[in-house]
Amino acid sequence: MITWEFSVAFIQASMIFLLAAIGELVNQRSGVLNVGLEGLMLVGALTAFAIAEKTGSPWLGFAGGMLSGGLIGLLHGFLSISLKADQTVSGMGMWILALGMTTYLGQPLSGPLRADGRLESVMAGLTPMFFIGVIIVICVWFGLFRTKYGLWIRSAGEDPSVAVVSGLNVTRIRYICVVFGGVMGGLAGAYLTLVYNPVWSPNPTMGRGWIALAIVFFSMWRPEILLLGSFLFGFLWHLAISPSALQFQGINLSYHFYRMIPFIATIVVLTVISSKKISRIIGADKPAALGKPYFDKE
Amino acid sequence: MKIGSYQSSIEKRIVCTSLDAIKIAVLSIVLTFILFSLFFWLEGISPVTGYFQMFSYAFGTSTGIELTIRRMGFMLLVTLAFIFPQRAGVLNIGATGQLYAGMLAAIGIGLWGKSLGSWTLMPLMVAGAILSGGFLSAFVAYLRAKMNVNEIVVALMLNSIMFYLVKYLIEGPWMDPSGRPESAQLVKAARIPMIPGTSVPYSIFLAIAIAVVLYFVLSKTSFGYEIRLTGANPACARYAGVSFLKIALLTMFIGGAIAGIAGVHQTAGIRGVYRIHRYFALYPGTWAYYGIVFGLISLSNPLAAIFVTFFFSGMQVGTQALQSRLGMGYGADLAFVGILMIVLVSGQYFYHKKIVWHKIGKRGRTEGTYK
Repeated sequence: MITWEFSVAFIQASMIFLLAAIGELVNQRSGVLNVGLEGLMLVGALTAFAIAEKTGSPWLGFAGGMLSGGLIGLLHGFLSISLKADQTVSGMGMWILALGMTTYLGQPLSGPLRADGRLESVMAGLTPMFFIGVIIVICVWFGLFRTKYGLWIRSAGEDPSVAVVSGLNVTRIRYICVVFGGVMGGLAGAYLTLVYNPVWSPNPTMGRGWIALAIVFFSMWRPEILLLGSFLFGFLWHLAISPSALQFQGINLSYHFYRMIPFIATIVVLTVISSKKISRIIGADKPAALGKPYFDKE
Repeated sequence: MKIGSYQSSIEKRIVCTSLDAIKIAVLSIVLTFILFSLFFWLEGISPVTGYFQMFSYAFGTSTGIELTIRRMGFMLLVTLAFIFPQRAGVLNIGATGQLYAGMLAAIGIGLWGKSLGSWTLMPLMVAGAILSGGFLSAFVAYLRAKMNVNEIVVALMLNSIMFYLVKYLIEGPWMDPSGRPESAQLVKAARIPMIPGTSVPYSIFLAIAIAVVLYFVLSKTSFGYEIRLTGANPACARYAGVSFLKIALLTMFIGGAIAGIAGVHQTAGIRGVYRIHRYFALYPGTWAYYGIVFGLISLSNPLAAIFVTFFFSGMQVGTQALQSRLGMGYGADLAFVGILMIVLVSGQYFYHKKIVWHKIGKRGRTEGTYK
């Protein structure tokens, strides 16, 4: 049976996906693909953890996590917008660097976070991050589809040359969106190590960033589907780490197989949703210029 | 920017020759070494001492050079696994999963066929690795070419799935009887023999042979021509009657098979067991990502990859030696690869642009041009 405790726990888990994915959605809408989402989360997670551990203030930790995420986002922006580098390879590099750096720098910090660095205010079992996350999604939806700024962002991702002709500064729009994506990735990481699981061990994200990336792809770049997708994968992820919460009669699998569930589900959902029939029904909104650097006329 | 009486400006590069590309790659590598000095600084070691220790161990001691060559076998194979599909414009991000698949096939067949002779067992293990690695990667290519599913996401998901499968098998059915978190030891018949007097398995020659064969396939056969055509201009290739599905499936299958062989080299050649690292559980899966960066450095040329992987395997072995000698933390070698990858990819900017230095005369007139 799905109990209240289980639901609360999976909603908490889904916030990690939600925060990371909503930032990525905005920067993909502006035409920049950041594959290094997992790296953003790792850097945010370590910075937040280290600051909270040293100062005892989770608020400074959150600020530090978001700031460091934003800086990595800025670096990715510099590579992909100004230097027009291959965004996939640059993002992979960002992730590998983040994985190596956080493993290396985080070693002295291994172990649980000191008590006053944690954030444990709860409402009916839910942390405030749930409400903040939902509000952010609503704001992003409103911003993207109901304001002129959203139109600017979408046109930068759809057809940058037309956007430029209409008098927009595509470079600036893309930079702002990539930094926003970085800040949200950092926030997701900070939430992971300060609230969700306040322990430092190497590679704490364990592939969550890749799933968040996949959620953006099959949300059809729409915030409302992204919200549902995050809950679905939060549910699967929580099921994967605590299969005993749901009692399967007569099924006795090793816990490793449960851990595979979210990853297998990602492939299945992505395959189904990528099929021509489904994407026609939902109306895929893939930004036409996604992943392509914009070369201005010289 | 202005230095002395020289003024620099960024201009468009019309043609990027391979010499230019090599120059850019070398400069990127130098820049990476400078950036990586930060890690020595964090440890309070002078970068000169650090790099000297690193390279003198990797290329100057007999243990070091054996380790370097062993590591090179692995790195060369994962690099080729990236290069080959890349020439057709298909990114093989999933070498990690294919490597795990190859390792599992090698260990599985090795443990199952204990009583078989080396001459039956060894080909079986290699064939198993080729099939498991190849099909895993062809699956990604199939989804990409036929169903239009994002190949990066699928490959990364498969990496995680394979990781848990490895963990399950190593901590479960194939666990060492004494209860350590590693697989049972492979019997002698299932081990690739070492070159006499060294600890380098013969599979190193297999790796080099594959590199040479791939070079000839790419440059001298019609199949190689179709691959290069698809990579250079997919639309043109389609009009010429080259099936993208066929090319994607074949190149990815071959790439995956090579990554699988890297798994055989690592388990049956070097370790004889599969051990899950205490600090770095993802090892050696994360090493497979090195293939991407080495592939970029060698400009997707299989012959260049031999030398590139030799040099950087030494670098990696050296970094790991530093971890024990000078007490550097884990993860530094991975960070090096990350920096290298970012620097290289930003260096590609100069494929289209170049920095030109103008000498400014007394009246501010441009007198000469230096590139």
